Amino acid sequence: MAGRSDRRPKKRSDGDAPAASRHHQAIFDAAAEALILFDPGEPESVAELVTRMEAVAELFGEVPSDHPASVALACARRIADGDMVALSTIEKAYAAALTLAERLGEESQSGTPDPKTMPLADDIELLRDFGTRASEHLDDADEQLLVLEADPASAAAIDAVFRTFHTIKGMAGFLALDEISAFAHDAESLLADARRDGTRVGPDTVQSLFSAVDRMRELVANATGVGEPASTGAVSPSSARGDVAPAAGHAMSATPAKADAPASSSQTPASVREGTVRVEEGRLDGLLDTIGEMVIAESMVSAALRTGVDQHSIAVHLDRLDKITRELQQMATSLRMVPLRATFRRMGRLVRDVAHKSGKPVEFVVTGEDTELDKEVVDRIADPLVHALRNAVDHGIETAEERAAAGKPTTGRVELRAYHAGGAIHIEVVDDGRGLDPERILARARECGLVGADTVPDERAILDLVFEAGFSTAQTVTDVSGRGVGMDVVRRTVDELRGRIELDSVPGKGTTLSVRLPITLAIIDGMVARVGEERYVIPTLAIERSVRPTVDQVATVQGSGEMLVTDDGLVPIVRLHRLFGTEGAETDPTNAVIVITSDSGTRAGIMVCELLGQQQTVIKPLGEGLPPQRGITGGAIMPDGRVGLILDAPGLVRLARDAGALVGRGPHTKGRDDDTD
Amino acid sequence: MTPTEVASADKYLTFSLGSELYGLEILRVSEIVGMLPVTRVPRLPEYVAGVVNLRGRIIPVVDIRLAFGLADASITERTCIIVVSVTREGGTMTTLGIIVDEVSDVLSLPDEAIEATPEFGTEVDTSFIKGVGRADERVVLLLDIDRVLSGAQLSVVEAAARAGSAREVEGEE
Repeated sequence: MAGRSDRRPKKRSDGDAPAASRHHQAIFDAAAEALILFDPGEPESVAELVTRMEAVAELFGEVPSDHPASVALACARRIADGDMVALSTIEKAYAAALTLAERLGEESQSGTPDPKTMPLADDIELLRDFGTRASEHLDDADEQLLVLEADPASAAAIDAVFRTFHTIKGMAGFLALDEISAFAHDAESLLADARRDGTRVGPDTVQSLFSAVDRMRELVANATGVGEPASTGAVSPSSARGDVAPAAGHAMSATPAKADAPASSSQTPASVREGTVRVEEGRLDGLLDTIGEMVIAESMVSAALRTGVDQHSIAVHLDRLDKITRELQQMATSLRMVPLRATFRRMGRLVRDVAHKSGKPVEFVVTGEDTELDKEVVDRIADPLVHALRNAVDHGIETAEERAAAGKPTTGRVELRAYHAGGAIHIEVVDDGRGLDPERILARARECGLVGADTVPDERAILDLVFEAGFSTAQTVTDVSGRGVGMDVVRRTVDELRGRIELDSVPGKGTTLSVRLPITLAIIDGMVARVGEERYVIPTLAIERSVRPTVDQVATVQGSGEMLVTDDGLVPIVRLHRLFGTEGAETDPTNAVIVITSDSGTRAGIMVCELLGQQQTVIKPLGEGLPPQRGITGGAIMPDGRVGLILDAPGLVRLARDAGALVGRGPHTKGRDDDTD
Repeated sequence: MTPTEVASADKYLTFSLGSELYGLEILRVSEIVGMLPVTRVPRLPEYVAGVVNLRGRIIPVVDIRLAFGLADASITERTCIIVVSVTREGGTMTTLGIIVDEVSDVLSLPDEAIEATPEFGTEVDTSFIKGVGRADERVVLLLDIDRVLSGAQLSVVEAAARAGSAREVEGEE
């Protein structure tokens, strides 16, 4: 509970109030805080509650046992004793606290506003806190409702859902958010019978509860500005019952839902966003400890320099400092890391809703929800996942009859998994549905004019077509059994997060969408390349390999620039020196190095003079004063203190294409058909 | 305004470019640093020299000589970068470095000592100059620093830069 003390509700204009009343107010505020923050699962917070309630009871001195102060204290004690019938007890405690609040308001009249007329709801901090907590509780409720749906007699799930509404009711009541509290009360009563008699909860009730959760989210978001009502609205269309609206509309509407997220381009990766990150105390302590170590190490170095001890011991100290610095960097990065759990948790509800609407039985499996990623990545990956999962259920999974006919289990399976491999985070959406039909995608792409009538792309390139902006049209949803619903948006988001996205599909067996994301946005592993006198950093994640081509490997296509001939197709060569006007660079490809980058299905061979080595770099924006630079993600401070520019491979390819240096839009236009790389 | 601001409002930091003396409102200047190694950023107007590392922060620097069409001068030990904050379109502030030959001193120029920029005809671009100040016998050209990197200026040159590079690439084919 440490660290929360600063979030104490602000005392309400107690300037004119008598000192005694101000003292009362402080005690009451502390009790109120304990009431809001307490969680029956955390003994510490319960103890805190009891202490606070004792203080309140003391205020009133000797009072009869039915006095609200006594009641509140008694309730708090019962909670502390682990009385888990305590739901009603908690309610009692809240009610008692409210009565107390009113009495206090009457007692300290002069200058102290009455809690009724000056609701705590005016306290922004309290309100936001409420919003955050309520959203978490609602996510919990969603999860429990899914359990309840599977097992309608699950007492634990019933209790958990009940408690969500109950807690929200209590918190909202305290903040005088009457609408929310009344709604929570209604929602709660839906479960009253089941809780009392231990009866099963009917599917209708579960459905109503799902809707209630959605409505509650909206109410909370409206009242507090915390949460994303629009996004959830898209996840669970208005009534969530019956209406089988074309999924496309909703999937598309999920995109603007993130309107509150700044349209942060790749230009300012580390831009500070409004918002809070919850950090485990342990991590913060670790950081402080290490900073302490650094201060000591630094003073040792300066002392060693002052007293003029030998080179060797200075080197030892510096070595130590170096190690600490690296540790610090890692720790600071970890402060921004949050598990994917919260995001994944919401997906269960989504899959359930979509499956219901399309009338397909779907089993949803989630693994790796503890995988940690930068908070911004976690926040921004949610929408792409919504698209992907919706597509998997809506288009990927066949109807039960179709599945039976194909000899598959009637229940479809959709898997959402995350894992850490190769210095990156992988998130995959796997379904065992019908897979993608390359023929139809190609036909559709021809219709949209994305592929010329004569071009025959290989299978992989065909799958990549799904990510093209022009591919997703409303018609696609009905025409093609594939994805294509806003997949360009998905790819753009992944691009912006400097990740990669790939689609794999086996007709009749299923589809896998894999997204590879950098662990953090602030630091990248980069390959330092020299072009003339200048040095550039190429993100390692984007590099496939690098080659020094032989004369035969460089093919010049008449009037359409140069291509590098590789085993797996032709790769357009981007002459960096030409694009950037660098002087003194190597112009003969056979004396240069070509770095083959592959990003979101676009491959390019970036021609540089030589590779200087690998380096971890901190990405910094190039300054807001400059317009966004195509082909450049940002700047990095190099070890010599100069600024190096970080290249954005897909941006370079687009730039070169626009500049007329490349022709042919697909990198695989002439690749072999069996190519699966 | 605080008393300090009132007192500094009519003060200008002057610096020389070749034989000319220029002035910048002192309130805009955040610091003056020695010349730093500049990394060129491709495809920007020529007068944007590139970016520098200002104690871990990357800021763009402008070679103001080139913006004014003055001859390129060699970098001496007196060359320095004046770090200023400029207002961009939309009112956001950003930081920018200006490379100057030499910083001279701080002058007090009350409003009555400042005249409008005279017309030099179309040959000379005076859009960066917002007035001409007179102090003693000297003439100080007062810079309109917000315009040096203003969005309007940049987008024009940016387009030019893009067209230029496209031509250049095609030309090589």
